[in-house]
Amino acid sequence: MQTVIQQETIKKKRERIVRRRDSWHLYLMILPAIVLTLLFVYVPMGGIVMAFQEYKPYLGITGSKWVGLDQFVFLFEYPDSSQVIWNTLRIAVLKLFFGTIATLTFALLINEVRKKWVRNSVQTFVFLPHFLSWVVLGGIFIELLDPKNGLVNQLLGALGFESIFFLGDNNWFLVTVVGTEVWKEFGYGSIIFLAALAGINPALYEAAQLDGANKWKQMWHITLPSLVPTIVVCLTLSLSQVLNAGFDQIFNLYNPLVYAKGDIIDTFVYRIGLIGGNYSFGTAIGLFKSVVGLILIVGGYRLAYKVAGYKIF
Amino acid sequence: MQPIPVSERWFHIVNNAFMLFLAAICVLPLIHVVSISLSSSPAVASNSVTFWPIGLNFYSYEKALEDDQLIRSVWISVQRTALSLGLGLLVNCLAAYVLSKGGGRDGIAGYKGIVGFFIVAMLFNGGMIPTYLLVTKLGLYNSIWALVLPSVVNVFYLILIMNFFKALPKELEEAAFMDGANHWQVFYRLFLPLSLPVLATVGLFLVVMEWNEWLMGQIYMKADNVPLSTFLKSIIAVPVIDASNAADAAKMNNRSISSAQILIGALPILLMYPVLQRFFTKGIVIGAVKE
Amino acid sequence: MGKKRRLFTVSLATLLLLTSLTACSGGNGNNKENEDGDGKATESKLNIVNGKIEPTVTITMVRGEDPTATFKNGETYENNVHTRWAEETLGVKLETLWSSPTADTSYDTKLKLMLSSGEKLPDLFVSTQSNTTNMFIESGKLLDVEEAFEKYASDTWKAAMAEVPEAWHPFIKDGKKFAIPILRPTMGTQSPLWIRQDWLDKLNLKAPTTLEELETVMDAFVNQDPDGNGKKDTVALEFGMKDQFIGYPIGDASWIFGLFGAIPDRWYPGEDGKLEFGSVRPEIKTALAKISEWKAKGYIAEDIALHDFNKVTENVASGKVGMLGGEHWLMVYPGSLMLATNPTAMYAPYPLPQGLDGNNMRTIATPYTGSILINKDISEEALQAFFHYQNALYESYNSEDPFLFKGFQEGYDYLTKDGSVIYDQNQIPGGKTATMKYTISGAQTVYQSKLLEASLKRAKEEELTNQELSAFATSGIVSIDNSNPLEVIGNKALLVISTQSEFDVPEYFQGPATSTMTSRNELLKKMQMDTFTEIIYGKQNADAFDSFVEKWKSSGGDDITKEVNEWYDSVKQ
Repeated sequence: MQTVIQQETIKKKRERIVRRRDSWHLYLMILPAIVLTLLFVYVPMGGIVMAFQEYKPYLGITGSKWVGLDQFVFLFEYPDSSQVIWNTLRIAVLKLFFGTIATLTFALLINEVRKKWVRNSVQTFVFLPHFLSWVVLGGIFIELLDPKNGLVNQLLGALGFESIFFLGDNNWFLVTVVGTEVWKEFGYGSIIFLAALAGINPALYEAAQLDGANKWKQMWHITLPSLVPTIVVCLTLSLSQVLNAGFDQIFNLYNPLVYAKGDIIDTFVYRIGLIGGNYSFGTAIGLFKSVVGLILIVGGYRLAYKVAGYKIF
Repeated sequence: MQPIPVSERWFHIVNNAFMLFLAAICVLPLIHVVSISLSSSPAVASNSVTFWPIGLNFYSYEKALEDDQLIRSVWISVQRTALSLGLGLLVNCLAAYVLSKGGGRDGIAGYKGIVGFFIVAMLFNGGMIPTYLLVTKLGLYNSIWALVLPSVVNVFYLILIMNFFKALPKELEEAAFMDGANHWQVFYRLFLPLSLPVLATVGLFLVVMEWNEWLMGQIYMKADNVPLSTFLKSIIAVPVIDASNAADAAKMNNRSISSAQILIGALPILLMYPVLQRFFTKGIVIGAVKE
Repeated sequence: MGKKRRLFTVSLATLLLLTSLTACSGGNGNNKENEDGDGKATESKLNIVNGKIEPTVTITMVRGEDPTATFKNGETYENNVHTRWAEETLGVKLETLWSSPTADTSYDTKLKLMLSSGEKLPDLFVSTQSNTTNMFIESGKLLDVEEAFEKYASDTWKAAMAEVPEAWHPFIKDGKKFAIPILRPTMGTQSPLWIRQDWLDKLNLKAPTTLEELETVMDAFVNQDPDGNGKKDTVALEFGMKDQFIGYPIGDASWIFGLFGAIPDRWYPGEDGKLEFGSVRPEIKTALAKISEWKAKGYIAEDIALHDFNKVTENVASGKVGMLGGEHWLMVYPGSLMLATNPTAMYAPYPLPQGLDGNNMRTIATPYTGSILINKDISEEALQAFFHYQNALYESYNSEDPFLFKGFQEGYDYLTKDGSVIYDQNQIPGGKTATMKYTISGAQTVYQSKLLEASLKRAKEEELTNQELSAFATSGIVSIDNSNPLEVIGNKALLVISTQSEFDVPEYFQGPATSTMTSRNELLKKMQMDTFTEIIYGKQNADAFDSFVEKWKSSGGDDITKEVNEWYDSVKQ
């Protein structure tokens, strides 16, 4: 007993020495990432000062007029700004919530499929919608959801329901936007979870089977807990995107009837004329989003630690 | 072998059916897009194409393929994707390896600062103009590196990989160190082979991202050096239609061409996916090192 | 503590790098400005022999690539039949430094980046986006073109410009003209009433001449199954309103509002001669109430709020639309697409029916499509060479020879064989290519009145003199060609449109966005789209319009009106 402990401590000591000796390797290993980030992200980041200027391309950052917080004051005093910020949050959170659930459920279910051809073909097919752009999909969905001649409403009609103007009613618009986004991305998103599932040690399942645990118990006690880190990482990092509700999608589907719930920050910025070259306002909006994203990530990190006991970094 | 319980058998039947249903609703729109890309202009314009081409023709593909630029652009895209994939995986994995050690005795000093450094880099950016100025000042304008270097470090994937690394059993690593391995060897011989699923995932994401990204190509490259995505985007863009080009517009068949563009753009990845798929098969990796 | 210090060092280094970076970029030009400003006193005269400058002068330019331009024989923008012609016959070498596609806005982005990075500008280039043009005008890097234009432009070109003085308006800053407008023919950009002639015939109806008759036809078009498929799946009246009410070249709604005496989204003089914003005129209320009524009766598509240009053209192509407004080329696009699937379908252009209380109005396009911007530092030779080139193209309005530009058109735009002219795509080796897209402006040169005169004569199928025919020369048309029936319909539409030109309302406000516009336009626009759409959908009573007007005025509309009129007074002479 005594000798075993002694041996252990000797081992640990030796190991510690080895590690300390070549710990400078670690700095070497992380150097490329730091240099590239410094150069290509931090150097241009000075452009953020545009948010506090009235930037003119021909004057440059050094020559443009300083306006302090004017761009932000404009954003927050704008009568519609709170509406579009809330709309953005609502859509993004709904997408995040239902998207994660759908992706996770799909990954768990496909993981249970035994037949190899089903598994492989389903995985390949659900991956496809990710590659279709919203410009194309927008056209398809407008057609499918047409209140009069659309396939969906014809189906509803055949089942005895009244026709629904999906893209013209504020609540249905939300449903449509969230639903189509989930449909488009769940297959692609599930790849991360599938990779995590592939990493679970099969010995765990074998042991559980010996203990007589059925499928549900195995899923509940082995599979899900193994996925928690991945879920936490993905959710936390996604929080940075919470003010991006998907411009391409909304822009191709929305219309004046659904401004009340469908108008988001990006469509608002688009209409206000960011395309018109108002770089400063665009930068200010970007900065606002980034700051909110940072706050949420830090918050999410703390929350994840408290609730799941997991530190993502 | 134990007999499979009835409830479980029912689960499998229902589950398989549900999965096939999902596959169907995902593949139908794609079939629609394929049909459109192969249909004649009037049939497309009048919205009469559903899941089978009407007035079958290959005009859209010819239009996309006729230009010599296409070959050049494909080559640029291949180079760019390969370089980004190689460098991206290497740089991000190395950094992830280091950060996965945390800030304690095993890791590096300033761990928290460095994590913050990356998180901030993930969230904030200076926008198009300063980045363009930097790229031109570095002499990278119109060079393949302008498409590669700015996006090598991807913090999202870095953190993802780092979390996979953290989940690897500590014992293996310690045993390796005991045997006198240094960090490079542990990284290369142990961590990389053990995380093939996540590397395959991130690799796939990187390829998809780099292959489809078009804005950098538009800004940093001259017209005859643009990657495929930028090139395809420029040939499908719809002109403002007026009296002078109405006749051309009627021939152009834009929706077909843009559908063909999507398919040409997605094809390499669709071909790659089955190859990568085997990495997602349960247990393959851990099983291999279990002994 | 140590970490913080490190982070601080990093940021400091970053900041230093950044300042050095930006210091090199923006400030160029400012210091040079004073030296060069009036330095062009050197009165050099180019040596021109038989219309050719000796020795050749080079003009550098950058170009937007027109997606509908085609090339053959391995030619490019840099080197093609037109550039060779310009060099060989005019002694003007057009050197394209780079080109970039326009349709995906990459040309526009590159222009802005060129300005931002302080790169040297080419001698001249075309800009079609007003905000980009304004950015260059503001930058002070452009030449005040007035003097050069007065000095070097030919009388023909000057006369063509003098017809449309308002075309200069958007390019005037502090009384100086900073760009040369590229003119376009405006006749034909207004809507006639396009009606499905086959439906009219089938249902034994006559084209409406009054509002009441219009409603009768609409009712028949949805309730009497005009396409004979036994389903109630047609719409009587189609227009676009997804993000604007006017400005869709096909599916224009301006004439519908015009039936009631106002046009939304457009600035035009009211009774007192001051510019007013059409959207807040009381006539709009009547119009909205009526449109709402039509929608309730099913004359208008249920998802009309989603209709934009693309959706309208799709619906037209699918053969479900009875009536709509659109420019004179509607049968070419999207009409030809409709014909391919519905061979018996046909739209005919009719004069607008008389509106309420004899009212009628509709929009007409601006007389320019973009402008040519000239670098302040252009050499005197290059400047003169540009005018020499452009004057040569304007010569067609003086010439008796339609084949004036044979040098770059023969074998591209047309082929002459046994004394007749062939335009057929299949008979021209390598296909028909429009060489006007290779010119600096990328379009035909326009002298509106002469072009209109010739076009109307052609539409009436009268004999054209050679001089009249020459008006078409830069667009590659050298003879009367009626082989395309759809273009003949376009000509007929032009004729119909020209009989009602007293209804045309151009956009009078052509200045850059005023300060209140910049800050409030989006809000006002959204408010308007909201109110109009809800009234049309019957979600709000037409009286909601009154409160919209009040809110519009108090939320910045009144200020904008003031600013717009200040601008108007400054350009109105």
